[in-house]
Amino acid sequence: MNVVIIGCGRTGRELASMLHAEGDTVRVVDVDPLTESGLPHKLAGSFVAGSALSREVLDRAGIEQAEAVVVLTSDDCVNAVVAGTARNVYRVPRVVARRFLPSRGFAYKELGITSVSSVQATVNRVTQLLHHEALEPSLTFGNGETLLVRTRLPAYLTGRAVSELNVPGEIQVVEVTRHGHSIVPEPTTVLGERDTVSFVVVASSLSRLHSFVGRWS
Amino acid sequence: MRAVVVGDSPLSIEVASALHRSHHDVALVQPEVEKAEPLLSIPGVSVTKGDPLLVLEAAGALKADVLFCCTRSDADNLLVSYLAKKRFGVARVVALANLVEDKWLFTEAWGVDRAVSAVDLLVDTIVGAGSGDVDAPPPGATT
Repeated sequence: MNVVIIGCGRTGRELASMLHAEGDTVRVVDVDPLTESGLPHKLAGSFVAGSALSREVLDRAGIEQAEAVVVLTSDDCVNAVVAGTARNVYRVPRVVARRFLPSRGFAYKELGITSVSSVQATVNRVTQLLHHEALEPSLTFGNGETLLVRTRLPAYLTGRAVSELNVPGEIQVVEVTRHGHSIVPEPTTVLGERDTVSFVVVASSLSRLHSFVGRWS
Repeated sequence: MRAVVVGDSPLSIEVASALHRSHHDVALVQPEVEKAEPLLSIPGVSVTKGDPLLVLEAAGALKADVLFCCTRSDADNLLVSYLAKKRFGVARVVALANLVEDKWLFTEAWGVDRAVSAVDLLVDTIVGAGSGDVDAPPPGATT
């Protein structure tokens, strides 16, 4: 895959190396020519110096042939404009942008651009590690707004129906493993003594689920 | 006429004052709080401080007839123009292109009805009108 990465900072370099190792053809653009020295040797020659708002620079980076563009500069507005241009002018099929300020998420939404919030993801993860270590998620979705958590059912909940554990919009039982056999439960499914239960939970409702867990262990 | 002026430079202040003197309703959006302080003294001009992307509505963008965006960041100018046009339906959006190389982006695609390039105006004035056209053909035309 031809990938153009805008921004040769820590994330840009790391991503470039990883994609290169995966066999992708990578070009990295940065407004600061000195950042080229941070690229590994094997990526020498794939650096383009200049502003990603410049058409000449985008053309030099081969955006016309790009199958994916990843925008990682430190400026939210630049990221949104470059991502929007990649998608709407150059019709790049896959465009991902980083955003810093969570409050600006709506601007990306308005443009229909997929964004990754490193700030939001870090905050969600750290909060979860500090407060809800017992609930190590098997999977997180989006920027960590929702998680999949698996845990053994505590004895005191034996005999309860699944619907009693669900909290609409916050906590949802999605799977039950019983004697090594996994099922998608119905609301009326009664939980047994040794069941392992998978919940999908909203990050902000982890404490609610945790209040169960405190009594579980 | 109701005008919203978005900017972080002396230019925005001057434009807001001038529009006010020509009897227009003017709302100034100023990203940096400190820079906004001296402006509070312009009578008849309302000043809204904060991130332009977040305070456009509070500044009255929904009722504005025209919006002029002249921050020092071309990316900011484009995003503000986009929101002003697509989200708030401002009839006429005018934006400042600071850098010549960014000028190609200042089109309807980003909600800009009219781009102002200080460099073009200066070159036109120095060399004579028409000579300062640094426009390149649109990207589609190159292939």
